[in-house]
Formats: sequence, structure tokens, C-alpha cells
Amino acid sequence: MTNEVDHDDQKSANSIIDEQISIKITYLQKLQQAVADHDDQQIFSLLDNQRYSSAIEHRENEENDLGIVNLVDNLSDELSNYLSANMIKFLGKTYPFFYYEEYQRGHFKIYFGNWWDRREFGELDVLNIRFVFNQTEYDKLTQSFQLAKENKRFNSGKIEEISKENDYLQSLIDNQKERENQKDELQGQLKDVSTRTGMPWESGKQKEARQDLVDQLSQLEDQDQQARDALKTIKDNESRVLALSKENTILSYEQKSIIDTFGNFDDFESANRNLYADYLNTLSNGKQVEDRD
Amino acid sequence: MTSEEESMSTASQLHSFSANVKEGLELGKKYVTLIDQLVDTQDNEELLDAAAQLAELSVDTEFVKFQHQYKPQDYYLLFMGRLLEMHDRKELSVSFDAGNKNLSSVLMPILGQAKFSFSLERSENGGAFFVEEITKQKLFYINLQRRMLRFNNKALVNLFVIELAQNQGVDEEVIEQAVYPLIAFTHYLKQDFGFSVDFGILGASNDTEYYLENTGLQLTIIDKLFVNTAETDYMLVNLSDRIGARLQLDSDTALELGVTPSSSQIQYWAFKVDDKRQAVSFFDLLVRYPLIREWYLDNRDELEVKSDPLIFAD
Repeated sequence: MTNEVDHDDQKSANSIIDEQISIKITYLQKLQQAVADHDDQQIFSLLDNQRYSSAIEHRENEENDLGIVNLVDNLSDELSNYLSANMIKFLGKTYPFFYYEEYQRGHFKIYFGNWWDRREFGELDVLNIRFVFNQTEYDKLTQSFQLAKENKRFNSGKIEEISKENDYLQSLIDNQKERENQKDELQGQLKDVSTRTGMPWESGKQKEARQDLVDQLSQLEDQDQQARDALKTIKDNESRVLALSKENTILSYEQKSIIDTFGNFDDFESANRNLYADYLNTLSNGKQVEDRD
Repeated sequence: MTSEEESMSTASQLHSFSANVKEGLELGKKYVTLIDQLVDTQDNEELLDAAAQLAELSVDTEFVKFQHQYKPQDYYLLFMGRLLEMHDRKELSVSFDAGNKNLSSVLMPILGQAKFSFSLERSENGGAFFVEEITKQKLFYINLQRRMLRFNNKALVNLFVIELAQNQGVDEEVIEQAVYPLIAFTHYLKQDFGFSVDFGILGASNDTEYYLENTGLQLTIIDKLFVNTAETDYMLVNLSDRIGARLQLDSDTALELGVTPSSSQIQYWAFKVDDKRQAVSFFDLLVRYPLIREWYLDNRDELEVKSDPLIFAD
């Protein structure tokens, strides 16, 4: 039974293979032609027909034929590299503040801005036409926009706190002489209290007074110790303030860039969501990216 | 000794005396001829020749001494004044200072705010420094024999940027007018006599690299400038081809600070100023832009621009 060949099944298997291979060949030929013609729009529709037909042709329920879209999986880096040329030209106009570095074939880092110490902001996913932002950096930017509504800046609170600490430390350094005088005076008083022989019923009070003087002295000595460490702490704090101010500056340039291009943060985010359709529509308008202006 | 022999020896003594006096007088004659030449000639080379000779000449001999003489450093100042005058520049006014019996000079744009004279370099190299007398700043070194001139960047900043612009509130235009004759003088030395010159931070060519004294600059120093730009219309951007930053000041002028290309492990940093007309120097930017001036002065230990280390070591 197992060795018996069902000829009808055999025939249908043959035709299935034939048919499937033809589909694959046709798919690959179309892709080959599209690459030859640099018809990027066609390439994107072949790579993800489901998304393409829904977003561009508004036809839902076109499922991807998994048997064919996987055929070029091993070429994704090359395809990404190939498709990046026009896309980055397009993005250069729509997002003039983003810069890209292809750190390995088909993989692109995004940098926000060209200013000093700009931030690495995530990656560009060319095949899916989307930005994959670094979440931490993106959150900072989102927060900055919210804080801007209250006229605040991202690190201003922290900077203020550290500056206050520095003012305090500086005053400790400046008041060294005063503390010395105070200590001398307290020590004198302490001597008085210790040598004074009072009435027995005064001994509790005397003890209390003594303890009070000792506490005051040790408080001043704590301040002396703080003052000794203060110069270094002030320096450390200054470099922290510099780092925080730098981040504020970077964030303010980022906000300014987005406002200059998109008007506000919401429109920037909505542009990101619609990037796939916007880009492919630009291509399908029959105008190559180069002609746009 | 016969009387004949005696009179012979007296005669030879007198001859020898007269020869010595003649020699002294000849020297004196040469001296005044050179002075006339320095004052009157219309020829460049004759002018330089007179100044160079006078600066080296000791006119007194054992037999002939001249009570009234100018000092060697005075001839440098006279030479400078005359060279400028021959090019129709009248900003340097030379006069005799009865106080210290020196020739002294003023630059007309900052008349009353600074006084200049030369002071001799005492080492065997010779030459002299152009010094502002009140602040003792040695602005440049000149050597007429070796035909060279080197500006001292530290002194230029101390005098013009800190003392005059900042402390005395002299306008930036006036500062620029005041240094102009110094630049012109240096330019004439180069053009008329083929001097080797270093304009230092006064050099305006775009190729000029103003090297920092220190190597391996800490990037936090640039962070400070970056943070300060936040409140201005200027933006500090990354250099695309090397480590460093570029400050675009207006459509035509930019300041760069970057690591200069070299095969060495050590990072050599230098400023550059980029402007279409090649008319703006690093000095001009320090004078014109408070943003740059304050940052430079606040971080001077790290940012100080180097001068010729063989001459201005300290």
C-alpha cells in the first residue's frame, strides 16, 4: 500500500509543483525587472503585498503569499541598501534634521541634527519604511515638548538643585573663619561649664548645657569636614551641570527642528505613522524623488 | 736717547693719537650719515640697512665719546615709523619721551591708552621686542639681520582684548584700527624685504591654522561653547571630516576648532577662520563676538593659541 503510487495524486502533485514554481519564477522575474528599472514602488509592493494593497490601494484582506515573500529573505540587507538611496533623498527633504549612517550594509543609524554632540536616535528600517527610534531618547524628547508648554526645560530642576548645593558649599568655604571664631567661643564656654562647681541640684542642668555645647561643636566640625571636601564636590557638580545643560541644549535644538519643519510634535508623530503611505504615494505620483521640489 | 730720537717718538705718539681720534671721528661721521640715511632715504633697502647698522653700532671709542646719542632700541622704532610713513600710513606717531629719555610712540586710534617702544633682546640672537610700556606686553619680536618677525598671541590678547576692550571699554572698531598698522608694517616687511613673518592670531588667510599650546583638548571645553550658543542665533555643528566643531557666525564667517590631520598619536588642535574674503582673523573674532571672547578667556588655560616657542617661552 505504501509503495503503491496513486497516479491521480502524482499528477496533481506535479501540477502543484509546476504551478508553484511558475508563481515563484514570475515573482522573482517581476522583482528582477523592478530592480533593473529601479521601480522602487513595485519592489515594495512585491516585498509586502498585504501592507501595500491596504495602505496604497485601499484593498484589504490581500494576504501575503508566504511561499514567495520568503524567497528573498536572505537578500534583505542588499535590498535595504538598494532601496535606501531614493528613500534617504526623500527623507532628506521631509525630515531635514535627520542624518543617516550605514554602519553595515543595509543597516542605518539615525542621528538627530548635525550640531555638536548630536544624539544617535535609533535606526531606519528601510524595508518597512519606518523609523525605529531609541525609546529612551525619544521619551526625553516627548517630555521636553510637554515641559515646554509649562516653559520648563528637561534638566532645569536638577540644574537648580545642584546649583543650590554649590552655593551652600561655597558658603561653607567662605565661612571658615567665622566657624573658627565660633568654635573658640564654644570651647571657652565648655571649659567654664566643666570647671564650674555648682550646687548638686544644678548638676542636671549643667550636664544639659554641656551636652548642648558639645553638639554645637560637633556640628561645626561636620561643616569643616564638608568644607574640606567642598572644592572637589563643587568641581564635580559643575561638570554635572555642564552635562545636563548640554542635554538641555541638544533637546532645545531638536524641538526647534521639529517645530520648524512640522509646526508641532503631534504633526511630527502623525507624519511618522503615515510615512509608509506618504513615501509610496510620492513614488506612485509618477514623480521620482529627484523631481520633487 | 738723542733729541732726534725723542722728537721722533713724540711725533709717532701724536700720530697714533691723531689716528685714534680720526678713527673715532670717522665712526661719528658714519653714525650721523646713517642717521641722515634713516631719516631721509626714500629707498627701502637703504632704510633697512641704516636701521640694522645703527642698532648694532657702538659709536664711542676710548678717544672720542659722544655725549648725546639715541639708544639702539630707538632705531627700531624710527625704522618702523619711517616704513609706515613711506607707505602713507600715519597711525604710528613717534616722539621723544623726556621722562625715560627714550623714543616712544603711540598708535593714533588708541592715543592716550597705550604707549609703545622697543626693548632689546639681550641674548646673542639679538633683535628687539615691540612692547606696550604700561602693561609690559611684548607684542612682537623683530630681528633686522635675520629678517624675521613673530607676533606674540598671548600678549595681543592681554593688551587688546583684556586691557583695552574689556577693562577700558574701547570699541571693537577702534581696536581693529589700532592693530591695523601693526599688520600693515608686518606685511610691508614681507613684501618689501622678504621677511619671514608670523602674523599669529592676526593672520586672516583661511589657510591659517592657529595651533593651541596644549595637545589633547578635553571635549567638555567645546561642550561649554555649545551650551552658550543655545541663547544665540549661532549654532555649533560637528565637523564632518575630523574631530572638532564649527561655529557658523553669519552667512559668510565661521570658526572651526578641530584636530589637525597628522599621523601622530598626539592630538594637535587648531582654530581656523573661514570667510570668503579671507579678511577675518581669529583676533577679529575675539574682539567682535562676546560669545567667543568670553568662552576663550574663561577657558584660556586649555584654549591658549601658541606663539613661536623659541621666542615666546614662558
